Amino acid sequence: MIRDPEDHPHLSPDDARALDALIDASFVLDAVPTALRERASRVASLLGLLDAGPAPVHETRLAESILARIDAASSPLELHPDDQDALDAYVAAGFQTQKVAASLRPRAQAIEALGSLIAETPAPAGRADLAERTFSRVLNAARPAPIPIGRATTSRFRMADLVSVAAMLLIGVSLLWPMIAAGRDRAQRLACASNFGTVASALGVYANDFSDALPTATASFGGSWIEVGKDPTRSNSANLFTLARADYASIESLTCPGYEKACRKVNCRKVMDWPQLDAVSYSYQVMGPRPRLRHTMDATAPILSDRSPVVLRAVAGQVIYPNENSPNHGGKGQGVLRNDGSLVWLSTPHLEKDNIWLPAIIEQALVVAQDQLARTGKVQGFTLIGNELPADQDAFLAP
Amino acid sequence: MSTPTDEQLFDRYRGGDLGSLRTLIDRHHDALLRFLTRLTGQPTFADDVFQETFLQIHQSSDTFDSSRRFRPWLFTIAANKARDYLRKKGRRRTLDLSAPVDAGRDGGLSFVDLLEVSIPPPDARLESQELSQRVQGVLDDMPLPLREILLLAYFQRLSYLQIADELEIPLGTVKSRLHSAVATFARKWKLIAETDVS
Repeated sequence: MIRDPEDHPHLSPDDARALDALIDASFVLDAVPTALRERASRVASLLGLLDAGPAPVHETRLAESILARIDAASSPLELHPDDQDALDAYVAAGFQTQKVAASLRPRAQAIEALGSLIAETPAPAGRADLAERTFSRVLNAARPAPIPIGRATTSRFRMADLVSVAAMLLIGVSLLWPMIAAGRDRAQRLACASNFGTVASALGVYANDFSDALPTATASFGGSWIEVGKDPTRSNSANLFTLARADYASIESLTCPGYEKACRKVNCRKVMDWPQLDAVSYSYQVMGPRPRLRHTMDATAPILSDRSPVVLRAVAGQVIYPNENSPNHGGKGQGVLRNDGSLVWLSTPHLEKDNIWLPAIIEQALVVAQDQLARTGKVQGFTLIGNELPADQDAFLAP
Repeated sequence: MSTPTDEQLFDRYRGGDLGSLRTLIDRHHDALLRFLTRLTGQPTFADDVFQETFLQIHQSSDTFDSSRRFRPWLFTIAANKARDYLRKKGRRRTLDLSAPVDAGRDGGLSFVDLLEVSIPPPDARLESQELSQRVQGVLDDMPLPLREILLLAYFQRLSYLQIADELEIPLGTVKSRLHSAVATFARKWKLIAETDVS
């Protein structure tokens, strides 16, 4: 059995020097320098206890043994020349034994077997959340460092000093404010991206458990998907809520850090949906009568995004602005999670010409009304009532 | 629908797609953790170095040459991080005087003939935790440079030239070091096997 190297006790420096001198002198005490001889004698006596034979030959046999061991450890081992050739040929063949010359193949196979012993035997797989913790560490590193707040000192300031400092602080803050605000926005976007990463993993596990389906609250869908909190068998947000209800993701991971009014306290055991529309942070691909299967969707098809402004306006009875960005991040854009697990930041709600807030039927109608849009920037007469469904391969995200 | 390559994912990540980094972490989780466990000898060390590695990947993302392959870069960073970690932890190799002294030396050189080394067949070893621990014991007993090149070669399956390139050491050194690493591993494995038999 090989012991952990940490378990070995260490000789004192003087004893170590004496042992070295004794070994150098081939265990002939008289050849050890005088200053070390007494200690060397004690070391020799101690080592002699380990040998089983009669006293007169102890030292020589022990020395030979130790020297052999030291020699074996210090001089590199050599592969048999044929094995060297086989190893070179095996590496050159891209680690494929069948491509190695027949004469060297048995030895290459032995090398391969040795390698697979190292690479294939089970090793501890680490804790389950290692990937999540690693991702979080990277995100934290990417966030701007907090501004350090110094400790109060006991020095006394004159009023003039205080005024000067206050003035400098005001100037500094006014100069830095855009950067601080940008840093805060960036931190919120990163935290939001972390949520999307968690949801991507949860969707993967869910799909694995349910024949590749995206989460749905009920099998028989019908009516208005817009009625958040009123009828969980029909609302599209209830479909997304299924992830939290079935413990695939926490409610926090379905809450955008950039949206202050988002509902963060929901008893997932007792309800099937968020309580109302303005409590929902994210919009989800609208489901049809049957759950959508991920393999039937494009890899880049959007599944989740920051909440749709179009639905908010539609529910409030306002005119919709098709090109408006999500309000989650100050209207600057929206994060979108795609079917292949990748995350993109869109500065407009268009993903390859497909408006993610609208079903294809309305987008087609908008093309007809292009003139009106060009003139006013808005379209009258179009809204969402909750019974619209996406066409095949159509991105349409709503709560 | 084609799966994006590591290099495509890393490119997307550099363009601001954080989800791609998460995919890379998940994709390399098992192999990298196994590699690091073998290299450091401790699952907890491997866990720490795994995180340090991806943190370094993030910090060095601008320096990655996108014409190169991502995986060798990842594993080389991991090996460097493991080396630093072991140095910090003060792990050093000491000579185990309780190990049997090797016999059969020839003119000052000790040759290892791989055909004389008994290796269990794959079906006998895949599920054996005990065997895995023995392999780990042998690796732990090897000098770090040899252990490192052995694991990099077997986990990466790179040519000598690629290893030399990644580790920035001369080609001749890579060759002689890998020879020595295989010989050392084989010899120590053989000794363990013989001890078990006796």
